[in-house]
Amino acid sequence: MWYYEKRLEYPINITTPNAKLAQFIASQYGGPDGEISASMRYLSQRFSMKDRKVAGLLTDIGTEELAHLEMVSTIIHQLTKGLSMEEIEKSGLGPYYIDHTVGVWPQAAGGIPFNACEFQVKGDPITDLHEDLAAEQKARSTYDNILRVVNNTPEVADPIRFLRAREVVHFQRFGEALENVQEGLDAKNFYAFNPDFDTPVTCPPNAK
Amino acid sequence: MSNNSNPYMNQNMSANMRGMNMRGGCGCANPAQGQRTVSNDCGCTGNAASTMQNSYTQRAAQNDCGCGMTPVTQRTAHNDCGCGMTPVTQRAAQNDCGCAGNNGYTRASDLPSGNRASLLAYIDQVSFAAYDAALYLDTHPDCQNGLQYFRDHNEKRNQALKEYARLYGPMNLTQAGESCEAYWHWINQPWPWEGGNC
Repeated sequence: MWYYEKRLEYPINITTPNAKLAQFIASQYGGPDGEISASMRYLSQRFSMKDRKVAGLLTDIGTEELAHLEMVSTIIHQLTKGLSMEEIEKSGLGPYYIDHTVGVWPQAAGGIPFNACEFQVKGDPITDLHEDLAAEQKARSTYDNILRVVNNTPEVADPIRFLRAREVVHFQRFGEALENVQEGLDAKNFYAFNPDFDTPVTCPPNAK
Repeated sequence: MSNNSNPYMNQNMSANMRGMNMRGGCGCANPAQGQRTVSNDCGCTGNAASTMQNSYTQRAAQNDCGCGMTPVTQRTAHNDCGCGMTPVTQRAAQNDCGCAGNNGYTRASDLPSGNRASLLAYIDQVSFAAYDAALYLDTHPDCQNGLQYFRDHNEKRNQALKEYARLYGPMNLTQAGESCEAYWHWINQPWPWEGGNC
């Protein structure tokens, strides 16, 4: 289960609201390559990973992504807190405001609501790990795009840079996980079987 | 009054002399005793170097209970070795909780003092170091250096969390029992998203 610690993984203190930035950064909350997508992807994939190291990694990275979605939603909240009606209408936040006021709701910058079609759980360790490598790069690219817009606003750029750096580290870890999985397979043909589906079910170590 | 024939009965002796007999030291009325029992505070309350209420727990023979003597050994939760530091925890051999200013373990005195923001920043940093090490260990479970790195930073994190709860209230629900006796402070301290333009 999950336990809550009452702090952000990295501090966020945004003193000036900005409706336009909030709309853009929303993609890293509820967008296709955002933190909700990442956490749901990893926390769902871990069930079909026979390799215990990979199941552990997906659990722990998935948990960190929950901490990241908290950070991104905090950024959106602080960017929309205290906005005037004029700022809302002029910035293009009007349609969002009608349905959500300045609440935080998971959607992409372009308006598509978060949905499970934005991630995959294929149930095949090699496939899922490639999905995860791609997910981290997509997130990294999205943060790059955001940084081009917020680079001159340090109080926003600072936590975004932290989040971007974490994506790169996660990418490294997933690469190691893929190598770990391949080591357990036939080197002449990694695709000979699905190690999660085609091998007998085993009990965890130390289970009675 | 003092009994000159038995040096251990003389409470006016220097702390050094009192402590020299490791088995019955610290002014213990009964020098033949090694391990001290719950009811035997070995006279430490009469020792200027220690202000502890040290009748709490069973101590090993070498435990000078804050008299300022070394080496000191693992102490249990109730034994603050006279440092007056709370909350008290089990300390490793090198940690004299600052009583003699020695090297080694993280002590409450090693934590940033002064304000909530600096303690929180410290917690963020050591927690992050530990968590990143945990991710690394997921794919390198037998890396000894990694395990040690994780342990060190996790220990620092645990100490800092205890100190934070003592001063500012619970950081998580596990801590909410001690910090919230008369009121559920959990809801009242700032939520993490309440930074910025409050």
